[in-house]
Amino acid sequence: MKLNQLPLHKLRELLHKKEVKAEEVVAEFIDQIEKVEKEISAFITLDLEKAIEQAKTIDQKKEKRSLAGLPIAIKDNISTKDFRTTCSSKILENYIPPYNATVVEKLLSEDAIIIGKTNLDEFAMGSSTENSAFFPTKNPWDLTRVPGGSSGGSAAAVASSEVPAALGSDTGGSIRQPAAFCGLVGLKPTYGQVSRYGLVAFASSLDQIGPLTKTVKDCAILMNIIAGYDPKDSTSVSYPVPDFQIETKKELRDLRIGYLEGEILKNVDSEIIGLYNETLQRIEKAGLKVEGIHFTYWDYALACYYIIAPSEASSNLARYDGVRYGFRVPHYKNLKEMYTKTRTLGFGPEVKRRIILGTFALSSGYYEDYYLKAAKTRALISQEFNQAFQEVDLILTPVTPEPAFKFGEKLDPISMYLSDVFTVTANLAGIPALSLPIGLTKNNLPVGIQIMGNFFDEGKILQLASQIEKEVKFNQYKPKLN
Amino acid sequence: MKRKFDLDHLCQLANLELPEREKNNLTSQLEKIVNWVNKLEELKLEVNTEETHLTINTSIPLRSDEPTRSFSPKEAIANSSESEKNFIKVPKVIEGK
Repeated sequence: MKLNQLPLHKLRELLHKKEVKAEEVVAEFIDQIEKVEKEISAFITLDLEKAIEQAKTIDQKKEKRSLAGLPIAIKDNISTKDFRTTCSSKILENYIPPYNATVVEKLLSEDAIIIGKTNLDEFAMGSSTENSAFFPTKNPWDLTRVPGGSSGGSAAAVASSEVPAALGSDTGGSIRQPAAFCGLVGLKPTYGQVSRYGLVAFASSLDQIGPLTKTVKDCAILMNIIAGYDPKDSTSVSYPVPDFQIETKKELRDLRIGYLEGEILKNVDSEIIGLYNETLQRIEKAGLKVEGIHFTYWDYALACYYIIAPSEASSNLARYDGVRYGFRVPHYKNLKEMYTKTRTLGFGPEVKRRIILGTFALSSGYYEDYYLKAAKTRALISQEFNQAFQEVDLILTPVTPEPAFKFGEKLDPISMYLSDVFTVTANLAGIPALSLPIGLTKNNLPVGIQIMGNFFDEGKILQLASQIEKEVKFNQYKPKLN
Repeated sequence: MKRKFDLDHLCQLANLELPEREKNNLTSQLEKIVNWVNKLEELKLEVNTEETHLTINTSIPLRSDEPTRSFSPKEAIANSSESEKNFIKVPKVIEGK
């Protein structure tokens, strides 16, 4: 098997044992990028020469750090010093951050190689990468379909073996939905578990950074590095970070598992329901206690999310005015016109839609009816999860109502928003949730299952994920591309 | 809930400008979205602002208040489109003669 096909932990083992050199590893990934990137379009910016240089330097070092010589891709809304960070927006097309995000610093301090920045829906607003101001990314399993979004570039890069792992961000499902569409493991950690210093803000009460990988073990390895308190992020939580790799190996026996039931599953694709039920049966067979859980407020989560997220976005995106950074129109009469023209030309249609929607929900006369009502609903959703986690340790749901859809299939914004129905609740409640591949549809499209846990229960989530992974053996499937 | 959508007013607040042809399309899209989120009307909620904050049961400490080096003026203005010496240039804020 070629090196670039191996999961991160296997490559890491080979590198640590000095059976391969970082330079060889990087060269194989570059070879793959050169072969497939034209078709996939996962990256906005690549720095292959620097990657080779870094690999050579790492090969000279005696001490092998945790990620020594492993190329990692970073979603292009996470700041990288002296490396263009665009958010897939014209307004930041030429923005070069003067600093690294904390997660990037942490990866670099373990000698990871940042090989490039991946495509996303503009400012992470979307579920397909079709909202990128530059180009859409294709799904390696079927080039006529979307890779999901907004972390679609990160997911496609890993699924097509251009990199062994990537970082994404998740505001309403932006790591988990592309992970499901591309057959990967994607984790949205507990709110506050991973520093967001350097993540370009979309909706600050919902955003989290997390890994996209080929295996559960790879996810645990990256979480061990990126999790933890950061004084630079005021929402970062001081909570002891366990060794996630050890957590992953723990015995499952005592876990109580809940699964989502009710009307909400009626609109889910039948093949997804089939694989979902099959997985529940596997878990029961393994001797775990499984019970159905009904959520009263889940039905209201999307409406709640599509008020809160745009409201926060309208406020966060007010900073793009053509003054301190980013695009500025060349001609204007006065300051107000400079702001307005810059923003009008700089933002794409979905971003403008959400800014206006958020402005509406926060505006005088509507605030109580919209924003405040959504905030209250959010509290109810959160309380319902608190109650559920008194009965069970983990909750299972599908990740998406359907497998990867075709380009241009969801032109109506609401139909696109509906694909977040199972994922937004974790962001609203601040809890961790992971997407794990559990099989393929008849059309060879990956299907995922979502495992949700209580605050800081990433360890338990990874335990169950690891068990299911062993039984499903999803790694036997590869996109045709490879 | 009130559903009137004054797009011009919202654009004014958000510093955006839309060509006439985009306005109709966007108004109808936004009206659809707002009707869709009006689902929350089904919930008879008594709005209590104290209950609207997300509470994660652990401590969020404040960092220690120690001065550290920040960006140099050169780094801080490197991404602005127009600058002079160590300043970012913008059009006159107060207009007059």
